Amino acid sequence: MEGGGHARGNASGTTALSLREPIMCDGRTDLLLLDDDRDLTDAAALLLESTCSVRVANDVSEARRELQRRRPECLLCDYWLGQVTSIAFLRFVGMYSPCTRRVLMSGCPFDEIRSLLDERLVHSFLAKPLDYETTLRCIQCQCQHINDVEVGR
Amino acid sequence: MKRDTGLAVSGDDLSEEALATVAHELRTPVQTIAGWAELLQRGTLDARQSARALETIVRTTALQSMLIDDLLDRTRIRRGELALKREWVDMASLVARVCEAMLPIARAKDIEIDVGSDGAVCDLLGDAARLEQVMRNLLANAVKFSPRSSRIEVLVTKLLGKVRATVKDSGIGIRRELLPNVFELFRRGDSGHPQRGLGLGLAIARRIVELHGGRIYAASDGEGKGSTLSVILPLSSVEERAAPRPS
Repeated sequence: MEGGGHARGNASGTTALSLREPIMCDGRTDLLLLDDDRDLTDAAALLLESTCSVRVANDVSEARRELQRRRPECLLCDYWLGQVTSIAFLRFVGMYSPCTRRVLMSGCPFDEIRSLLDERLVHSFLAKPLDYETTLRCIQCQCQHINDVEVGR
Repeated sequence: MKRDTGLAVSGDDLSEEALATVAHELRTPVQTIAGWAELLQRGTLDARQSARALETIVRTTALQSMLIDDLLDRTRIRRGELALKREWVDMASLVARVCEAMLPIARAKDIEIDVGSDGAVCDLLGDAARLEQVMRNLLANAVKFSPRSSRIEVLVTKLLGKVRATVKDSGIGIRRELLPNVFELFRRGDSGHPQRGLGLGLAIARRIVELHGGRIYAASDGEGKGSTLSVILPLSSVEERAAPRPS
């Protein structure tokens, strides 16, 4: 599910990142979708592909590889990844690619998820089952935030 | 972070957490079904994608159906209403049938199921549908906790008037001190990892096996070392097999 466009960030570097670091710009939003349910990610990728260039990862290792290949504008990530939560990975993304907008999805709005929003580990939360119109609006809204920061609004 | 792995049940009522988990587990397959159904409705999928959509919807619906059956069976167990409809059952054939039915679910995680038997006659008087449910729950558990691209071994053997069916996986394993709790109602294995799921399947399997006069047990060398779940059921005697079969 590779989209076009090009990466402008140095995917292998980990230092001196700023909010202004360029990511990619091909008209569609560069989205990394992380969920351990392959049936769900494959369907979601097809549903979102008209607006987003979707890359899919079904575990944290895949997601890290994709992240290092190119930093996405937006990460849409499930809370439960098999037997672990995505909290550690979200912290990693926050450090490695701070300009990536992090959207968490889950079937249950547990207290710990609300606390992730409070500590800004994630920028937005979507409740499962996802409504794809709402999901797209959320992603676009998040990426608009990046654009606003880049042009200094 | 670690969630409480024992869902609290007080009296006849599920706790709020248990209800939230039930809702979550029912919602997850709905998400998958709705997504693929929406894609079919848009009419933009090619033939291969359409086939994938239909296969996924059928498979996910079956999984959700199992989940709902488990919830209903939990109520039957608590009310003592779980009854058996006995008939002659060839356990080896039954296990092979269940393994075949579970293949699509296993293959969705690139998991292969190896089925073996010692070839002995393994007839018993039992409830075929319920025994299928036992094996299905054991296999579903193995698939759930196995890594992608792994293998599950299923073996049916006869031993001293009994039949033993084992399901061996290479999944996350179970800590020794937690082995006795694996088959408790609403108990999800606490292997030190947060767990998902209702923890109903194995509890129901145990009850069904006990109603057949058998027993079920779990073995594991520890975390990350896989687990083996075994069912032992009494076989029917030669005299019983010679008697007229139940209609």
